[in-house]
Amino acid sequence: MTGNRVAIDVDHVCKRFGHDEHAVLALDHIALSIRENEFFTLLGPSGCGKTTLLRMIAGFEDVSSGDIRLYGESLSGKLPFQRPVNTVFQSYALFPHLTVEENIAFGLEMRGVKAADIKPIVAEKLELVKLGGFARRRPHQLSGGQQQRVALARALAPSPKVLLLDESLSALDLKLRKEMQVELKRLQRETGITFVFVTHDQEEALTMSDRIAVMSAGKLQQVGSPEDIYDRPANRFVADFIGETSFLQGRVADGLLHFGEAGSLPGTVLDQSHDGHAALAVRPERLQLSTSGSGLHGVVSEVVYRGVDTVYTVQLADGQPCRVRNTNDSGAVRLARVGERVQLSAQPGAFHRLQEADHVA
Amino acid sequence: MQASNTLWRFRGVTPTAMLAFVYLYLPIVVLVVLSFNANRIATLWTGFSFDWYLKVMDNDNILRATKNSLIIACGATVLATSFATMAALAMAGKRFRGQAFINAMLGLPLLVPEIVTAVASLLFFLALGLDLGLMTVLIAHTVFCIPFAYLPIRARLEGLDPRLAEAAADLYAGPFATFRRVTLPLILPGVLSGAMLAFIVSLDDFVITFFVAGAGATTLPVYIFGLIRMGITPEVNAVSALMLLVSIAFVALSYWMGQRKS
Repeated sequence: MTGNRVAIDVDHVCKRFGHDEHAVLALDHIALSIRENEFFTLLGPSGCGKTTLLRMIAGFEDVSSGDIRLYGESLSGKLPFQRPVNTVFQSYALFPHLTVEENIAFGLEMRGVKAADIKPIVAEKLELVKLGGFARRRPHQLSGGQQQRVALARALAPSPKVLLLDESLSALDLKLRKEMQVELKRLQRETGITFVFVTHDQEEALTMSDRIAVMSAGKLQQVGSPEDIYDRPANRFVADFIGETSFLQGRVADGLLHFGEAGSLPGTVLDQSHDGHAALAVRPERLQLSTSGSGLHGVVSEVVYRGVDTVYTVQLADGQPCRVRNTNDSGAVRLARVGERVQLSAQPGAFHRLQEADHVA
Repeated sequence: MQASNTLWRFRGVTPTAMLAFVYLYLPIVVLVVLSFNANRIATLWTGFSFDWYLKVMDNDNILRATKNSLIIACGATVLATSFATMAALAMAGKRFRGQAFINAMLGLPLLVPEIVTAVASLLFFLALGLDLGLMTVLIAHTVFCIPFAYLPIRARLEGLDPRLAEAAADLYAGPFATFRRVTLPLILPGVLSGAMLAFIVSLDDFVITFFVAGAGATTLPVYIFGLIRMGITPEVNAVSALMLLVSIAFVALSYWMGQRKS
């Protein structure tokens, strides 16, 4: 589905705000490649620099050092209107004095497309975002979700090489957001345009992306497929930011994973290349809880029922807390009560060994 | 008058407010009424008549002064509004060194006593060796109209989402196209409101005009002042009433433009 050509090459880009000793490094040597026809997501908490990076690609922010290339051609010195990329703004930024179709036609007109050729493109884009009957409306007569679709159609109309989406779904309510996630993925497939999507919502990122770049405090933490990011987080930050994770300290020896007084588990850790102390991350759904049999010993300290599943917090015998998730496939089954003694077992590869260093090289 | 405004509950507030309005508007009402007086002596009512309005229409001097006033007001409005729009755009753009100072400088002419501006303008023109006439009046009016035009335009720009200009640039609009297609249509109510204010301020200016107008550049307010010196005639009342009408029309239009949402 994704090509091998590189659409955007971010080459050791830095962004400094302010001068001299007061300068803040908002982006710290970011280097990544976005491939053609890829749904690429920049994911991170607010203030991590993801929006700044997106605005640099669009041309609204200067690059302090480094370079951004579009299909091999440097974008430095090019103003926003000289770059063949379009943006879907967080606030949509629809032109309030223009109708829906005038909004969508704007980019085409500015590119000098003939009026006769603009009409069919506008009609096609309106169909694409399922707003066929709304051509003559003005933005303020539309709901948030509809405005969102107009913003998408407007940005897609001039057939940009890359579409940039800045937290585009965050203003919508949960149900609409889920709908638009599917919708965006469909639009990306149908148009074959490279999408660069910025979000702080990890679930959104996992759902839609071909690849995700996780950012924190201006630094790139990890780039990879949703599976890579979720199953093989590069460091503690990624493991913590994406999904639920319990962090445990253990020891690898003779193919076993030891947790002091809590006992040991066989063959459950991904990286057994060397013995010794190990910082571990484990997803609550990769563990099983039982009141009989073998496993790590512990006592249930908290039970949270969440509808589709129930999450148990278990205090292991060596003092470390660990969470276990049990799906309620066959009705609400309460496996254990608070204070009850339980055993935890794990599938092969459930524990992920974290690198001690905090950043990816 | 909102119910939540507790001021109106105090005794004496309503009569005081009324007294203030009477004080403000009674003289104007008297002037308008007397402009329809049939008697030659302006302050003695003897009957209703349109005569003075007809006399005004027949008076070449008044018509010439009116024409001068309109030429200058229109010219000063166009120039001042253009300069004010450019200034407002610059002030609303990227922050720069000395921005607060320049902003203060733009508003300062509103605070400087008019007589100071008048004398300064006169000396300036004489120093340059310019002949006093319509041109000097036009230049002076343009200058003092700029802050009046600037304020509503600036206010309108402040309320404009900066993302809109970014969106236009993102959609391949260069700076001029962005201004013409997006920024200008959206600040137009402010621009028109500023233009109306500039027009009305120019139309009824007396002090500065009196100083910098040479022979043949007499405007309506300056001409009326000349008439008054020979005694108040019903003709003066009629001219004043007509100017009042124009002023009210423009102020109302300006207010309506400023209120209107685009």
